[in-house]
Amino acid sequence: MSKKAQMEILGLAIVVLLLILGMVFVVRFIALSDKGSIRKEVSESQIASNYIATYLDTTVRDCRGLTIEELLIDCAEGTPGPRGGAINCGYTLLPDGHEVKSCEQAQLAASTIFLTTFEAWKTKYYFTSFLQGRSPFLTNGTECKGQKRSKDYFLSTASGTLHVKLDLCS
Amino acid sequence: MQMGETIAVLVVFFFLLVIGMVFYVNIATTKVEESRYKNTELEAVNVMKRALSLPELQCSHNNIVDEACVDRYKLYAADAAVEANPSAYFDLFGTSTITIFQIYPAPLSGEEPVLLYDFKPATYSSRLNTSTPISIYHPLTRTHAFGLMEIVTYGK
Repeated sequence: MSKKAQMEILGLAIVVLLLILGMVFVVRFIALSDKGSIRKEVSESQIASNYIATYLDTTVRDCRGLTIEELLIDCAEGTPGPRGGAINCGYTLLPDGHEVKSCEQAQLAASTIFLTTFEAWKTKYYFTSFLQGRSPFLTNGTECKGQKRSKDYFLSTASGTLHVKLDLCS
Repeated sequence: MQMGETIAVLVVFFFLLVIGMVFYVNIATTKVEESRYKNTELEAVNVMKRALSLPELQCSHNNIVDEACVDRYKLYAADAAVEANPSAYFDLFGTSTITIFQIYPAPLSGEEPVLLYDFKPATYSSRLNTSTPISIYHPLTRTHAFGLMEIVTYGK
């Protein structure tokens, strides 16, 4: 075998070795690129399941000690909307001094809670309350575009099934 | 000439070997760091689960335990108990800090945040913050407030 041929074979061997090495590392890095956080997954699932139950159980001091669940049911049974509901929770401190009804009170409580939690944690969320088959009458946050983790809670009302739903956007 | 060739091949071989070793060491280091971080994450999750199911804090009615609920009066008692016996709770919570605070309605006097457990090591490699919503039950007024349990876990 000539000297030139030997050198060519050596060169080829080096190229093949480098290629194999490169491939191995690419595969290893792809396998290692799983950045999914256990803590994030567990805390998101914990948050999604605890959030609505805790929110609905919360007593509203400014509205005769009723719970948010009671306010939402009243809101859904009355005229669902931002200022709907039959229960009067007093008057707002805003210049127009309008009556705060159950729907607005539930929305105010949700806004206060979300401001200190999801908004502060920069977590994208979409919180809705709606009667089955109808469009939401109370919303917080913005609709998720991609994947999401959802928790739906059902309440029985005279107007039908009330859904209280929380989407955590991924 | 033969000797020169052998030396050239050996140089190339060792060169490749060194490159391989460098990559291997780098990857091994990354893997060790990653598994250490994952362990801290698991510890954070464990501490959260243990804190949520601590009988010293749980609300109960007729012996039925409410999930994710903390009794305000039990909380004050537990705070004193943890402070008095830190070593007993170290096995449960390790190097972490657990704080419980009320978000809604706005806390009144006597409803300030409670630092239930605090064991912050002098040095730590990572610090993980985990929060979970909890209901804070006031047994005298029979009202529930929306609160958060904030757990900070420190990695070794």
